[in-house]
Amino acid sequence: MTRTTPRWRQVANGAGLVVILVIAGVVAHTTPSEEQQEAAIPVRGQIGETLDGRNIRATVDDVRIAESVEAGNGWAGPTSGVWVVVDASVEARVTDLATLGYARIKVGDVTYSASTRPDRATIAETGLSVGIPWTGPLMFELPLPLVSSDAARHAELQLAVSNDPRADSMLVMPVDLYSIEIEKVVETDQPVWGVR
Amino acid sequence: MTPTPPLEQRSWRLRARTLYDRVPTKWLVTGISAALLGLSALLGGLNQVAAEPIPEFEAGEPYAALQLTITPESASLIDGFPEQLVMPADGNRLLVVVATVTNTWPDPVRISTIGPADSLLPVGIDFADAFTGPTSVIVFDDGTKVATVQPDVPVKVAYVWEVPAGSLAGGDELRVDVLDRDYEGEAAIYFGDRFSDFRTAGYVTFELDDLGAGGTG
Repeated sequence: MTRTTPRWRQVANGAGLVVILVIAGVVAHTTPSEEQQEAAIPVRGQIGETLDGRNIRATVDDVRIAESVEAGNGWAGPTSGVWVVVDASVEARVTDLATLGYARIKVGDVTYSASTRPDRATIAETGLSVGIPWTGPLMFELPLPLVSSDAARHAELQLAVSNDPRADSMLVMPVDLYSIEIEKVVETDQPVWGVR
Repeated sequence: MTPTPPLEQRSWRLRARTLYDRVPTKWLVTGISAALLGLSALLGGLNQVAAEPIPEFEAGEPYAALQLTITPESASLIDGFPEQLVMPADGNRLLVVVATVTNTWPDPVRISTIGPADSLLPVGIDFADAFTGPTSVIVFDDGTKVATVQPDVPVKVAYVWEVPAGSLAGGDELRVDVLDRDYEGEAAIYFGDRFSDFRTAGYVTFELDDLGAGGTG
């Protein structure tokens, strides 16, 4: 039998195949997963700063922790944990087809959503307007041992419009819950439309 | 001249060959299947398997379901919760099962009123309609009707079902199933997690307490 392809061509073909496989492997392993592709786009900043996202602008003024809360509408919901009370001003920027649907505190890998138990006494799930902020409290129910644990030093406050925050801006602020003193009672004001 | 092979052996092989060739393939397949089934039957494949009994829980005993650890505490009948605007239709009353629920999931879980109640389902009662989910799930402390349970923060909730008045009375025994389900991974088409259907993990038997018109509940 006569050899139709020269030896060096066979070796080159083999090497070429290996190169293509390596490239394919690198591409396959570095392609962003669906979760990464759809992830919220974080806008990071500090408490006290005004943060701008695509359709959300927010300023967090204060974070307090208390064993119980007396809300502006008279609601006083007991909890077996503690209340983390976040005072914030939130407005829309582009369209008022927006609610503060996503307000969470993340400690480690665990997230806590802003309670809707106080009903209209918080700005959780409030419809937002363009240019005129809602100013009021957000209340989060967290377990007491967590707030006084080390993980609470690196907690994160996350705010976004709509309850599905994927592929849209998410305002992210670090908050050190550990160093906030736990008060007996915190009183909150009713949310107001406009700056207080 | 080539030597002839022994006549005996040759004819035996030939005969087996011819026989095999004449057996239809269908028979072969059926035969093999039957042999396998027979083997499995011999090894105990047809034995009666005892159904695993559904465990009975005591009232007040916590059951750790996938997302929620649930402790059913009591069951009672009441005319309505006017302050929470939870009132049954005329001729109906409310069946209330009180439970303490702790979320062990890393995210908040909203106790749904769609489909069978997440975690609790009364058995053998006349529901006011075909829908067996609770009419509402109320946070005990403040009457909030959307019960979202935060991780590791136990909450006492009241599961409320509407039942025809007279179908249940104080002192009746009521069986309440505790349901559980399995995690099946990330959803592919919609956003979120995918779960299996609910299954009964155990049950609690309560003696119903009739609270009348309420007022204390």
